[in-house]
Amino acid sequence: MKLTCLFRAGLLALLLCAGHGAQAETTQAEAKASDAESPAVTDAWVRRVPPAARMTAGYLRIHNPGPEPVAIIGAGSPFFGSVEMHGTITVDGMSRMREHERLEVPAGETLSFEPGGLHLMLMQAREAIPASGEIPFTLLLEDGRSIDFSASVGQPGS
Amino acid sequence: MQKTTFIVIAVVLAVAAAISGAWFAARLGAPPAPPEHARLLSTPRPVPAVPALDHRGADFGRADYEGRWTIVFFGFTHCPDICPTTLNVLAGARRLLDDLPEAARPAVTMISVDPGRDTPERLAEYVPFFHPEFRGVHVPAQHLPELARSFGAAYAYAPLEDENYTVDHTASVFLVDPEARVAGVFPTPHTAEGIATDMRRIMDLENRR
Repeated sequence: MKLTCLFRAGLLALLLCAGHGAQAETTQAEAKASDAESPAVTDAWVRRVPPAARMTAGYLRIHNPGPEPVAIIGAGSPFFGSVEMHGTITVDGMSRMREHERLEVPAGETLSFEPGGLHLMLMQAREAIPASGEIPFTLLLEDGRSIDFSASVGQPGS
Repeated sequence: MQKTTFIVIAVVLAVAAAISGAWFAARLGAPPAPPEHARLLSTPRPVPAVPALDHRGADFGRADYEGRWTIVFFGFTHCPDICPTTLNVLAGARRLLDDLPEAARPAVTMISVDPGRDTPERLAEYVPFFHPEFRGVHVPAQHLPELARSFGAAYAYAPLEDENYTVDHTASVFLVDPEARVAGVFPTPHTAEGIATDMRRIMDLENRR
């Protein structure tokens, strides 16, 4: 568990660096997948929180237009020391939050991260969490691909 | 002369009849609508007197519930998803009730289920962000079980990585009546409109008693 996490963190760091540097290490999967079949992230936002908050949550939709399922195995952002995928489940009025190490998006389907359900748990903010603007993120897929996107900071319904 | 007196009496009677008719219609005509989402307790339970502080560091006790309705949520500030979601919904519900006289607008209180991390200072940085009139309440760990039990609320600590932890907690929202008794529960899911409409109905029912 610990090792897997370390491994994932390392992989993610590598990816984040690679993503910002030259696109030298294009994996086979990346080369094969055409843009039309690449999973895409939309409607991403980060909850605006009180200035004192140490953590917040990110929400998004990810659509997989390809013929094969894709799995998300990690996420990262230069703004946060730790980003995990969490799900809130409410059973009999009791809310529980648990980490997901892997989330699958079936072929042709959309997976929604939304309040009260799946969310990116954003922890260890490197500086104060901004009250507006955009925060960059990367999702790491099991097949080695990654998706870069940015999420706007805001509040639902405002 | 006689005729004028008769007309005056007739007019007065007609007006009186119209007014009392309207009054009876308002009071009895439309049957009071029951709340749609809230479950009201048939026997409200008094909130126990336990030591507590609000986010300004002032004592918070039974007297703070008296005289108005209070919506109570059990949450904590290291909660990235369900607590801010619920507090936003409650802020929306409160804004929908802004037309009511000030004393009739329900108070909203978040009781922290994480007294170890949620000091009054920390609650002050967090709770009023959602609505300036919301109050955060810090109950010392040894008194929290008794208070939670009286509401029918539960909480449990669950470890995360790196000695971090999260708190599983009741996401239902509770209602304390103006006599400081737990009087109802809003089960999940919550919407601002649903809670605001029910609050009007509950206060309306209470006023007709």
